[in-house]
Amino acid sequence: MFKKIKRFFIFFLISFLVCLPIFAKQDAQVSLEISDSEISLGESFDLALVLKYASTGDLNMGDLDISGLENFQELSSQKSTQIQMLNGATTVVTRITKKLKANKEGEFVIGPLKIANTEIKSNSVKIVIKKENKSFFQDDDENIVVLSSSRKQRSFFNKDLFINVLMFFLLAFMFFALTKREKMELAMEKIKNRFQKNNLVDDIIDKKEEQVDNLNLPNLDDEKFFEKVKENLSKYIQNNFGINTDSLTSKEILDKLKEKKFFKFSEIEEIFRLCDQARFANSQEDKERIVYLWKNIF
Amino acid sequence: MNEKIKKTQELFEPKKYILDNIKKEMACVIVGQDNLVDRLIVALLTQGHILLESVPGLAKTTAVSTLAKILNLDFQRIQFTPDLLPSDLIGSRIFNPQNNSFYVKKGPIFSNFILADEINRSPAKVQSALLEAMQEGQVTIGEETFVLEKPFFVMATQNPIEQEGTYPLPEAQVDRFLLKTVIDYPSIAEELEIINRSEIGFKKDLQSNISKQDVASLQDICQQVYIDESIKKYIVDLVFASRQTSPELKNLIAYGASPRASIGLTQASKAIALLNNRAFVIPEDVKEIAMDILRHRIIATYEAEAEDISSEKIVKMLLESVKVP
Repeated sequence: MFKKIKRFFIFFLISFLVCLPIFAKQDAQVSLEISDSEISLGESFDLALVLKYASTGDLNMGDLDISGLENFQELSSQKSTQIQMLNGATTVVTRITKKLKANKEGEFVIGPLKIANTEIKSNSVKIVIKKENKSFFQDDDENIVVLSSSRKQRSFFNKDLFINVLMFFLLAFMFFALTKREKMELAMEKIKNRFQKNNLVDDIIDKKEEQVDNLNLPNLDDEKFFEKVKENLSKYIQNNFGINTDSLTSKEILDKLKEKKFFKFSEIEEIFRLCDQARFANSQEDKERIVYLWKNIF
Repeated sequence: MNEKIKKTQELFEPKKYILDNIKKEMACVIVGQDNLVDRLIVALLTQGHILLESVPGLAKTTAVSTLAKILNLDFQRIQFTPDLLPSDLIGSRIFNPQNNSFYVKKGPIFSNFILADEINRSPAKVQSALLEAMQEGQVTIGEETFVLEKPFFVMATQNPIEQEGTYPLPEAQVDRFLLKTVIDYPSIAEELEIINRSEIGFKKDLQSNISKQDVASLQDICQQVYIDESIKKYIVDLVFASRQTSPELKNLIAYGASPRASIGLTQASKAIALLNNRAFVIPEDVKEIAMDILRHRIIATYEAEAEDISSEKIVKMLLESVKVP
């Protein structure tokens, strides 16, 4: 019994080892690929010859025969090989890329590709070569003739000319708009410079509404006139210079303003001094003077 | 300016030279340290006590002894050591065998100026012996109570480093000090001047004719300096902010400032106003002295200490959060 099993196992093993390369072996495959199916005369295109075969096969790469290439001029050729090993089988993929240029216009068929002494052959590819597309300014003799003749024949509202004129006006308009914008920006800069010095008060234009509220001078009869004046002035400074005046004393606010080189510094300093004296020393300060200074600042 | 302020200003004008003299004479001995000199004068004017803290060698002791000399007042320096006893400070009752009775031997605390040098080197019982003297201006020895002569002024120094073998002042003791001033290193120019003066010798003969009466009159004028209700409200807001803290400070403050801080801040602001030749207080005066009044009265939490947030930082945060009138 044991001998029978042993014999069966050896037979199975030998059969497996013999059959494996046979089944693993694949036939060679060839195919043709083309980069463009329709091109103009004078343009080049790529033709790729892809050969896929097992490394154990005896394939002679020198015996490639491609039909239909007589109408094309070969500009260059490039070859790349990729080897793949999978489940013990080695596959080689060779790709030959030829850059071709058609000699004349028309519809051509390239292929099939045949390998000599074998029955292996590829697909065929079809390519359409159109008439050469000349550019508008190309100084080709033939074209010059066509152009001169068209000049004679065209109407006043020639389509191409109309598009070109339209493009010209569009470009002119864009140029004018850009120049105008630069001029406007320059004018705005000049206006801003009148109201500010040393790059200060950048936010004045943006915060007009807030300023209007803050710039209100309290009523002279108001009991808390001095307190409100200082409060409004502090809010103005807070809004326009980004200084948090709530937790700062007059001196600290002035020190920070000094750093920013505010051009009405002395007026603000005097208003603060008068307000502080009126509030903390119960003194009767000159309200008219504060009004005068206030108007001087704003 | 109202009449009260004018009157105070008129009273102060003829006495102004005293403050100028003190500053001038101090400048002959102490190079720079204007902040320290100002704080000593504030403590003198408000009849408060001052705790000076700095690393060694920044002229703490020299400044205090110089001020005592300028003012021609009795001066006692007590070097606090671990074996110092309360009786060494305030005095004790000694038995007299001739009369078969006890008599009181007064200690060095019976003086106008007390310099408690390195106060944190003595145990708490000695530090506490100063409590009654500092707060009440009196000392009890046995059954007898003695009123201390005015002006009575305690200036204590402590070293923030070398903490081994020291006894940190308890909160109740620290609160007795009106000001806690931290002295910083001198600037480059000041240090160069210190070297130059050390070569030619520091001035030792101080010319001053300031009397006890002059000091007392200045203290009276300081009391009369006008402080507006809005400033008082600002002071209370600051102190309250340390107790009812905002969410961001809540985890940083264990104990806020006491009412003694409000009183101290009011008095010290008046002195600052006087130093600035003004007979009324403005918010700048409060802000200028707030750090020295509050830094030792706000106790930071363990969380704050863990995050390296000192009481100074907390006071700064308070000053930045309270609205100035």
